[in-house]
Amino acid sequence: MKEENNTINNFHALIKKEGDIEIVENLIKIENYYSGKIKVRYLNEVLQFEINIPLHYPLTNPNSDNISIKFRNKSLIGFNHINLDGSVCFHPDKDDDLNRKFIYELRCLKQWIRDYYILKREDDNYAYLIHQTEQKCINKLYFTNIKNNFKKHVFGSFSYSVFSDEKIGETKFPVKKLFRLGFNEKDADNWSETFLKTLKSRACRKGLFYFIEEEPLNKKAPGRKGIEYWDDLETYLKPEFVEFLLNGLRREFGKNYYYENSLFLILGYKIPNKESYEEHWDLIRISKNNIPIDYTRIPKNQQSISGKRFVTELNNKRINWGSTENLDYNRFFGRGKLAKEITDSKILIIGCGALGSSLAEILVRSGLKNLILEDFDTIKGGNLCRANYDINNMIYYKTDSLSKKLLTISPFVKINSIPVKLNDYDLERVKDVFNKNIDIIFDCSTDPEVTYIIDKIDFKGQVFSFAITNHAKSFVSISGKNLTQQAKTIFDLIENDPPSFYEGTGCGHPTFEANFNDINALLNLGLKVVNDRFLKRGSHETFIITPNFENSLMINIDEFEFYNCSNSKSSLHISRKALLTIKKILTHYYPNEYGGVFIGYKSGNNIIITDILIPDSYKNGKTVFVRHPGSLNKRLSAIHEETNGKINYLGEWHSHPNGSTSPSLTDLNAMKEISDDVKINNPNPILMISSITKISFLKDVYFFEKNILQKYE
Amino acid sequence: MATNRNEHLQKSLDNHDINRVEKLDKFIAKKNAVKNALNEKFSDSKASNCIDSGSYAKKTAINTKFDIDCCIPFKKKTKNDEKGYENLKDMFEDVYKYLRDEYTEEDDDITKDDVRKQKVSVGLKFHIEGDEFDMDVVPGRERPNHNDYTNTSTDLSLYIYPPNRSNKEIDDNKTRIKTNIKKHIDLLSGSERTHERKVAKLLKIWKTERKNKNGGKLIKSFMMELYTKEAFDNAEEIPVGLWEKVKMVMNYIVDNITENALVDPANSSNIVSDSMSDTAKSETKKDMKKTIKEIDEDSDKIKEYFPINEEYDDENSESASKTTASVLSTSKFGEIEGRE
Repeated sequence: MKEENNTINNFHALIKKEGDIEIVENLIKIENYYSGKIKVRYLNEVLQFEINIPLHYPLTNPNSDNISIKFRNKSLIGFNHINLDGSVCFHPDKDDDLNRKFIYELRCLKQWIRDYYILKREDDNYAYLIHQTEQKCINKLYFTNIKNNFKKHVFGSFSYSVFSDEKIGETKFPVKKLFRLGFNEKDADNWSETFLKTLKSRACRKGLFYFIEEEPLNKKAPGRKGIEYWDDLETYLKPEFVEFLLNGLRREFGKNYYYENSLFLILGYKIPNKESYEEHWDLIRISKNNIPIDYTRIPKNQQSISGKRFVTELNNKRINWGSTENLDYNRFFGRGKLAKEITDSKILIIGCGALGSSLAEILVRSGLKNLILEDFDTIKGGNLCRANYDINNMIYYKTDSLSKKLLTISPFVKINSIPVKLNDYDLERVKDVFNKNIDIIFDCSTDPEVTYIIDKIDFKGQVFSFAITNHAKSFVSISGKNLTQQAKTIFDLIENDPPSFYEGTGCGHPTFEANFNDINALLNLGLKVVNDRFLKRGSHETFIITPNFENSLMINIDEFEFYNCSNSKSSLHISRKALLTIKKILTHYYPNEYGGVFIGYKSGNNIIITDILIPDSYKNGKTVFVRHPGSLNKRLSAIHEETNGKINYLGEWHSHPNGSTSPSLTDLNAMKEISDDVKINNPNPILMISSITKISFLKDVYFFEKNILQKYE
Repeated sequence: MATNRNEHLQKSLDNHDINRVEKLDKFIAKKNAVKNALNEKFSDSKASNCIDSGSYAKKTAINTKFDIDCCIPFKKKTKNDEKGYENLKDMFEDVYKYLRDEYTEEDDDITKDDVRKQKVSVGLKFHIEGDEFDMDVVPGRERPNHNDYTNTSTDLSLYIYPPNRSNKEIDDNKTRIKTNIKKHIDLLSGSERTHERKVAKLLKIWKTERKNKNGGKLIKSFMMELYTKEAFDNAEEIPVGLWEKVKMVMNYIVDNITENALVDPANSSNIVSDSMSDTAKSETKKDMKKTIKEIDEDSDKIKEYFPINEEYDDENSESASKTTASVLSTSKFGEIEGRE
């Protein structure tokens, strides 16, 4: 008791100290608060507030975020930042110093009085009008932005689908989610074709709409206070509509206007958005058995020439407000989506296994509008854990289950399925259909036949062939031409244990091992790279992601430019990182020549350059570069040992400042010597020549064979 | 480097925001004091309490050349109601006399000389702790008799003080204006006019700058607000970006100001554009055309036509670093043998 009294006295003292505030009723402890009344005199305005301080102040209210003291005055409802219960809405900073926080909150109150009561300041962002919604049920209507250009007082009917109708909990509390279908054939809400099918398969009804153009405000109250009773809507609705509504409710509206004896009416008005205005709609439920319109007979002697026998007017019954939410595409994905080049493209995912199923969900959650899924397989317990399926999906086709799942995530995605292998179709047909209907292919099949097919059909769009190597050592994305060949080279050379996981017993095709976290970490990163390239309008090169947690925690991501030399049947992948380093170095030494060596993988005539080595012993001038071995051999030897012989010397690079990218006779002779040198053990070294000027950097790469430097294209 | 026109306009809007005026509190307090005094003095004859009018009430005020207006509605003297005024001139004079002779006695921040008769209002010039503050009091007499002046349909008759009339008004022998202050206040109010208010403020900023540069008579703010509303209402599609919106309204004014009459939405027989001379109209038209052309051609020009309010520009203060980078010289390290 004593402690409470001390606390209360402290509050009283602080109030007095702050000034401009008079204590009208002393604070006393009532349940979980110290409650009282204060009068604030500020800038020649006088306002009274109930004050409720939580018992454990300065800690905030246990059930609400960041709300501590409630200052309440019901007559202020309608002013900016006043809640429906009349309390001032602000979120003060958290603080554990009671005195400091208390004074700060008193000042916040004064600030509110100044900014919103006296100055009637407007915030930049529009705040939705809040209504006192029905307490015994929840009815919520979802809609999108349709450019109706409705004029004020236009009314008519709209249609909606009862997407779900559930009774929750012990009290069987009714919750209905309604999705608006549109106003007529051409003014339809822009849900996807596929989602619309779902909506139309549920119970559909008609409702009424009325465009009031301005917010439905209680004009007698200050600020923006919502309307609670039907007669306050009088200034917003034309008498013709009231009559129309009455006649409809009494007899004219057919059964399809009612759902469980309720008619839904939506009121539309303009609200500002960032650049312009949009239509917002509020939902009202009218019970067939409780019509909010009175009609009284006009005595015969008062009837005018028009012959009207009745006066219809809205009565003072409470409006049954529901709630609404604008789910328009840009709002739905307002918090973030992928690049437009992805979301607006028609995308085909080949293979809906571990990679494909997760990829599909990421794309749909990131705003994708048009998706085609291909897979011939079904879901089993064994392939479920690291894919995007659940127990209910077992036995069924992957494409089917995945489609259903994705439709529960976005109402804006159109989904088609191909539940068979591409081999099922004639190649010409595939070529035709793909080139006409698909912009981007994500091949997640890990099936080489898919790349055979894509290589053959000369696909005009973008292809990304994704794969994760065994034990999730790397993630590979292959793009461009000759996918099959690129895949072969890369998988021959980079770490790739063959697939090792066999399911159960019997003959089965083994698969790679990797857990859900591995797959998604790498897949998400890979997609992030793809998205970044789209955003920057860069080219889409093959890239490899390799987490390397050996010594420090690193994730290596490298893109590889891909070249082909048809004369020598040689393919070449060059690391972009290596190229960037070369560019930096050569620019540094400009206008003198400089150079170094390439290292990487080689298998037959297929080469992957992964890195460069810089000589520490050299001589250079404007047209000459002499590379001595220096410590290079020591380094090459160390690398050879570290990588078990996989990474070796591949060739040379140097610059021609202000020159061309064509090799000189000196260059040719040097390469011949290298080719002939048995100790180097590389009969077909690579040569790259960079032509560099103050403003430009060009390069060409050559394959040395039979005394000729063949150029890569 | 090219200026981003929309960003610049937003910046201009931000630092012309009225809430930045620190002395705003004092001005508000003074405005309330005057209102309270008038309400008390004319407690019998007033139809209802003073209401805020002018750009402050319309939420289109900018912080340069800042003033607050209020309107005091009076009852009309009828057979049934002795209180109120029959004659508009008396109403105007009584308010003027009260403010000049009695109010200035109680208020230290204003002297008799600072109270003057304007066209339809009495102007007050306060000096509050070194700051100047202007206030207009508009006396109006109700048309239909209502005691609660919140209903939009209540029109007011205002007295026109003869020496301050325009030529056209003299020609027409106009001595009074019928209008509806509430309708004017509501002209650009509500969330469905958010963008219009931004444009109206920018046009005011433009006008203030033109006045500072060239002086002369320019289009009235109220007219610009009316034109803004009309331009938005007539637009097929509202353009994206602040500059495009301002341009749309300026083009609308250019097309209409010398061609068509601008009618008071509160009273169709009030031709608002008549209060402006033909010369002023064509000057404004020329000025706006020039503004649009120059800014479209050279984005930097927007800074000239829509200046930043230097007083409230807080960008340049904290950016530069107060330190410099270290400059090293040679330091020698190593272990010296044979020493402790």
